[in-house]
Amino acid sequence: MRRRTKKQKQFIIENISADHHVALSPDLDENIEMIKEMLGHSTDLIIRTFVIGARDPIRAAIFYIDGLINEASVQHDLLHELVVESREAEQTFKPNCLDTIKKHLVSIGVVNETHTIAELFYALLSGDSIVILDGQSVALAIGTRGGADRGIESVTSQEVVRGPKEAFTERINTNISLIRRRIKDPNLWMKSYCIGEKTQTDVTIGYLNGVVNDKLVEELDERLKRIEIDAILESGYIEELIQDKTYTPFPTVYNTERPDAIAGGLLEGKIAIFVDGTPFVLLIPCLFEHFLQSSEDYYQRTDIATLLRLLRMLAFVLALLTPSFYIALTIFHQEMIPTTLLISLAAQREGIPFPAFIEALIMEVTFELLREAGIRLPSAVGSAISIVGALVLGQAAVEAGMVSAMMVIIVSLTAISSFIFPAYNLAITVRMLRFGFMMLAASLGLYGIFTGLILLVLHMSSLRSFGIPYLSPLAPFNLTGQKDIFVRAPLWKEMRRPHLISQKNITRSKSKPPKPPKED
Amino acid sequence: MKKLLIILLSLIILTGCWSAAELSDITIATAFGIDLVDDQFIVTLQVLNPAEVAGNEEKTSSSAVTNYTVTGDTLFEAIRKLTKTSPRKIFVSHIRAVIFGEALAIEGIVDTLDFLMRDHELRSDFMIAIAKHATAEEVLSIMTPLEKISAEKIYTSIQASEEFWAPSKEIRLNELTNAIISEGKDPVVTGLEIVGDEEKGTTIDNVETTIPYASLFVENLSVFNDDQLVGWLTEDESKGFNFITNNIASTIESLNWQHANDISLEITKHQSKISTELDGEVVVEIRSEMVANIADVETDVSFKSQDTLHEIEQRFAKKIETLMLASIEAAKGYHADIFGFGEQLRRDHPREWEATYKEDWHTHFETCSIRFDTKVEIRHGGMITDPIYPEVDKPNR
Repeated sequence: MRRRTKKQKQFIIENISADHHVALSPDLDENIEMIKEMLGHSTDLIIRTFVIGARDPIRAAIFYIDGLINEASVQHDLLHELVVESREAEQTFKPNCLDTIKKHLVSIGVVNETHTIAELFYALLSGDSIVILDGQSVALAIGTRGGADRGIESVTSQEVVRGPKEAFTERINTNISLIRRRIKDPNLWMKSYCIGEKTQTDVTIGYLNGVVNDKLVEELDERLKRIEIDAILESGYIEELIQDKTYTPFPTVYNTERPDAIAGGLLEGKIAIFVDGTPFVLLIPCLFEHFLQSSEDYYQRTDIATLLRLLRMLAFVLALLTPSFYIALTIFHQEMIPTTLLISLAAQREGIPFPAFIEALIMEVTFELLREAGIRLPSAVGSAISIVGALVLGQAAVEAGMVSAMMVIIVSLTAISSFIFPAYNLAITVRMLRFGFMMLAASLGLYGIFTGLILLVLHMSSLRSFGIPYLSPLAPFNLTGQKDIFVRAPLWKEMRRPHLISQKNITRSKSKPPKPPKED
Repeated sequence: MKKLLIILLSLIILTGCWSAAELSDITIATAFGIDLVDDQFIVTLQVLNPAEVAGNEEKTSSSAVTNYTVTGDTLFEAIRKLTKTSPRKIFVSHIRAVIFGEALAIEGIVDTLDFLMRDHELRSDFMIAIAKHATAEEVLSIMTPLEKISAEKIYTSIQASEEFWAPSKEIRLNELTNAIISEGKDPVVTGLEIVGDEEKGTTIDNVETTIPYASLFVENLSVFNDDQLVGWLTEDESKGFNFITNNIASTIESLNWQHANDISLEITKHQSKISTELDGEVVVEIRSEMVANIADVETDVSFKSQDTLHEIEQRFAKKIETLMLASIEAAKGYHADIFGFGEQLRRDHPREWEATYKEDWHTHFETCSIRFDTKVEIRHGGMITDPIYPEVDKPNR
């Protein structure tokens, strides 16, 4: 057997890294050596050489990465067939051996031929088993992907009282299957990408053909193809690389771990982006109204849902403006506070060493610290933070004369309100903006707050998510869209898909309003 | 982006925090008292001691309010002078009451009104009252039980007595000024009187006993001619005034059936309307309708018959008319058209008003004749129908 010198081998490997289209060598030993070399003799690479067939035996080798494969499937459906069953077969495998093996031996669904080394490694590192036959420069990649995963668990970030509890997982095909299970329509189309030079992450977009705006699919396709990055570790990478505008506090891509929310979005003509390795699936385009809605709105009775939506809008305003209103009223507009309340506020402020703005800032920052600490803390010491937190944000702070009791109420109110949003990223937006408004209130009073609000609305109406105005259907105004903003109209009334997102096949329901049976 | 940044920065930096004042840097004033001595204003300013008033703080035995008194040629000057004695800037937006001393009211209050209306910091929703037989300073110095801030006590007392008893009236700045300016109307202002030991009433002892040494009473209405105090109405006359001017929310009035005041009716609804006619002379028609409940019966009468009820209604209407008439007679005596008959005449007959009556309305007011049209409807008899009075034998009655 002709052996290549080490230098030559090195040359080949370098070449392979540079050029994806290098073919395999027909020599089995050379191939084994090359694969070992390229993986740096990693110990989790398993190589098993064996012989196929009793008559005219063919030398072969199977490669897989330990932990990435489905152990049972490799043992029973692959090795057993190739090693044991092949010996009992009468025929010879020599001519057309690849085809024969594919047709007669391997009892696994996915069998691909890989022609280049790049293809081979992609399949191997994705969990496929690679079978190489001596004398063949084409390898078989057999779909044995498996290995440990977390399994479907219940949602953690967007819980509902009524509605499905299952959440997406880290595995992309599980996630896609969760959607397929909900929408059994052949028009639910999926398109896959492989993004990230090093991570080779699977990214799949899904949409309802015939409902989705084709231009939107093209636009997303183009934006995904534009990405050149070494790694995609979470859907946040994709979000940041495809969003319309980076420097804005408002998210323009929606993310959720709820399959029903994604299915709902697809039915409105939106596009889902699944990323392997994260339970958070993206949805575009994303409008502001989406953040104030919960998927539960559609499962509860319409009046309850409407009330909850109005409550969330109130919470948005409270979380954003309560501290700034307190500051503005107490240092600029004392005449606007009812007399008895003012007396009580004045009594509380007696002896507080800080101006109202500093007082508010101290309390808000303390709360933000607590909240952040609460997320990172190991659960074993979690209870400690709640005890200490209650002290710094509560009675003890008031008794120490640091802050007034009213300030504690204000901070608590903002905190509670900011937890009401179904979407966590909007809560962060509000947290950031709140500090800006506090500064405006401290320097200019109500005039400052309203200047800030005007600027905020201007900014929000200038935002676009994949070309769709962020505030639609409020601005630009669309009458039929109003059925699903402040109120959640009964399902038999919400007959159209969102006006700007989907222009085709817009009728959603032809149901008549329910009514009692006719009496004869 | 750069432009926006410049605009934002200049918003914050160039403006500064002008007119900002922390709550702990201001003193909240609750009442003005204005007196006149030797052509100089004596201004009493009642300010809060917040820690003593608020709900949860620990109380000391010090007073909830402090009065500062200062003398000045004008009101504004006097108020600015107060900063010499007050430790903090005085914040006057939350004034609840402005009290005029009787001496100043007799002299005329118009000099003080301009400042009260012009100053931007003052809201115009405070009550105006006259200290009867006292100075405003004395009235504001009385310690009041239950409501620790005497200005607040004055405010709520006037409100409550107007609503449930009727011989007083809330007068606010705009109403008072309008009445002073108007040619067809003269103002009335509720009075405040100190009853009891005035000296002891100003000490904290006054609120530490069950029976206060001195109390502030909401008195009847005072009559003004333009801006000068000319006299006081009695309780019945004050009530009559409110019946005429449609200012009764609820009150009690009694009737002489067999003895004096033996049937009392509670008026729950009242509506009155003034209209004028020209018939050679000015005829004022006062139409009033009211709904009453039987409140108290101390005589032998049966309500089972409709006729009795009708008679009670009619006699009650007469009684109300006497009250109204007494009020009008008193006003005529003071030459002050406190009811706004002239104002009504101007609205009903503008041309004649301009030509004949405007110049010398007070004379015409004194000679105008009054027509009443009073309707009373008794609606409820309460929890029992016939009175229990006849069932009890009282030998000496």
